[in-house]
Amino acid sequence: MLRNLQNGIVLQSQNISASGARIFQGLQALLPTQAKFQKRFQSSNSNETRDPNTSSEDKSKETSHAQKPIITSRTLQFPVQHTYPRLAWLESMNSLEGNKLGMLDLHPDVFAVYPRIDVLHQNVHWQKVYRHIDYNFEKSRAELRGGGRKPWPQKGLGKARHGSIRSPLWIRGAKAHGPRGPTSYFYMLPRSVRGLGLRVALSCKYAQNDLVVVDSFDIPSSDPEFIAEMADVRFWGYSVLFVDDTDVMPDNIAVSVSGNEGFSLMPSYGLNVYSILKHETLVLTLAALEKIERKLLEEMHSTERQKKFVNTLRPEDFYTKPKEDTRMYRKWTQPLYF
Amino acid sequence: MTSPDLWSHSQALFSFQVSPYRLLFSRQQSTSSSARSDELNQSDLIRDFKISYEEFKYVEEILPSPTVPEIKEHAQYPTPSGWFPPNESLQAEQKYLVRRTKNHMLPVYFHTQETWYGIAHYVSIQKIEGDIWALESDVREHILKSTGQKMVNTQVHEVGRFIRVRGQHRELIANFLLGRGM
Repeated sequence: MLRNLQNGIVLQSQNISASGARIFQGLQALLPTQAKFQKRFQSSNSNETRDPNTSSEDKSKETSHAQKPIITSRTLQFPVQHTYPRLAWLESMNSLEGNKLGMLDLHPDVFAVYPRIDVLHQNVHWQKVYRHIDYNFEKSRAELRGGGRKPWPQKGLGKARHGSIRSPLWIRGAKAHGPRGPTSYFYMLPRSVRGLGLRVALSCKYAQNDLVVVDSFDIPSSDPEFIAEMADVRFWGYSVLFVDDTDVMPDNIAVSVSGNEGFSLMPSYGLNVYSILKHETLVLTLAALEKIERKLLEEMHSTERQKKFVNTLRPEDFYTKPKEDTRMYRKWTQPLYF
Repeated sequence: MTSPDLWSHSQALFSFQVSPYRLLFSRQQSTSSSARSDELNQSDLIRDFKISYEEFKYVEEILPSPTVPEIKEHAQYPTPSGWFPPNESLQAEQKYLVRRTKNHMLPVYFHTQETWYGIAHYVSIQKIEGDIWALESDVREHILKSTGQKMVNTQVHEVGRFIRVRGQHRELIANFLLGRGM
C-alpha cells in the first residue's frame, strides 16, 4: 500500500512561476545531474541585495509599489549535492493580501526530508508522556487498617483458612499489585530523533503547502478580526501557528492572535512536533527560519556526544513553603526619622 | 636536588633533630643561590618580535570543531583507510539513494541476534531514499551471484527506510553500494 502511495503522490512546490516549477513525481524519481542544479543556483543570483545578514525589516520598509524583488536567494549552510534547494515565497503582513517580497531557498535536509511518520509518532508520544505523572496509589495489605490478627483458627470450624481480613481475596481487602504511588513516565528521546522529528514535520508542512515565510510580525491593526480575515484571504488553515525568533513580540500581533481561537504565537525555541502537527498552517518569520534551519543543520552535523539526561531536581525542590513576610520587622529595625 | 643528595644532606642534619619542614627550608637555601634573580631584568625581555596570524591555521586544524567538517579532495581514492567518496554522476543513474552518515560513512551495519534457533547475523542498510524495493532486489541479486547460495532472506521496512539482509555479507553490500556511487 505504501508503494502505491509513493507512486501516487505528486508534491507541488509553492506558487512558483511555470518556468521554474518542478513537479516532483512521487518519491521514486531520482534527480538529474549536478549540471542542471548549477544552472538553477546561478540563475537565482541578482543585482539586488543577496546578503542574508541584512535584516528583512529594512527591505520591507520599501513601499508596496516596489517593482523589484528584495530577496532572490539565500546562502545555505552545509550544501548538499544530490538534490536541489526548495523555494518559498517571502510574504509581507502589511495588508490583508500582502505582497511577495522575494523568493527564498530552503535547505533540502530540513524542508525536503523523507516523511518518516514513525519518527513523528515517536516525538508526539514522547511529548505527551514524558511529563506525565500518575498519582494513583492503592494501599497494600500491610498498609490497610486492621488485618493483623488471624480471623478464626486454622482448623475445626469448617470455614476456609485465612490469615488476615485484608488479604486480596477478601472484600474491602487490599489490591495485590495495584498502582503504587506517584509514577513518572519520564524518558528522553535521543537528540537526533528529536531533531529528525522537527525536520520531518517541517518537510511535511512544506510539501503540503502549509508553510509560509513572512518578513516580520509587524501588522497594522491589533484587531483579532484583522488576522482572522488575513488568514481567510490567504487561504491559511483553520489553525495557524506563528513563530518568531524572539519571545518579545510586537503588541498588535500578540493582541490579535490571542483573540483568535486556534491561532498561536510562539518563539523559535518553543517549536515542537506536536504544535506543528496540531496547527494547519505554519507561519515563520525570516529570522525564525534562519535560526531554526541553522540549529537543525548544526544538530545534524554535530560532533558533540550526547550525554545521558540526568534529572537534577530533588523532592525538596517541589515543596512549596509559604513566603515569610519580613516587611514589618524590617521597618521597625530601621530608626524612625521625624 | 636529587634524592641521594637529599638523603646525605638529611643525614648531616640528623644531629639537630631535623623536622621535614626544616629539611625543605635547608633544601631551598642550598639552591637559592642559583635562582636568586626574582627581579625581572629589563635586558632579559625580548623586544624584537613580530605578530603573525599565518600560523594559526595549524592551530585551527587541532581545535575541536562543533560540526563534522567536509572531507578535502584527495589525489587518489581509496584513501589509505579504504574510504571512497560518493559519486554524484553514478548516483544520478540509480532509482534509489543511500545517504552517507554525518561522518561520511556508509550506513551499513552488522548485527548479531540470539534467537531460540541459534545466532542470527544480519546486515542493515539505513537512510534509503527512493525506490527501496529496487534496491532490495539489486542487493539480493548481487549476493546470490557473488556467494552462489540458493536464497537470501531480506526484510524491507518502508516506513523506517531500512533493509535487513540475513547473513554476514557486510563487505559485499558495502562494495555493491560503492559500485553504485552511494
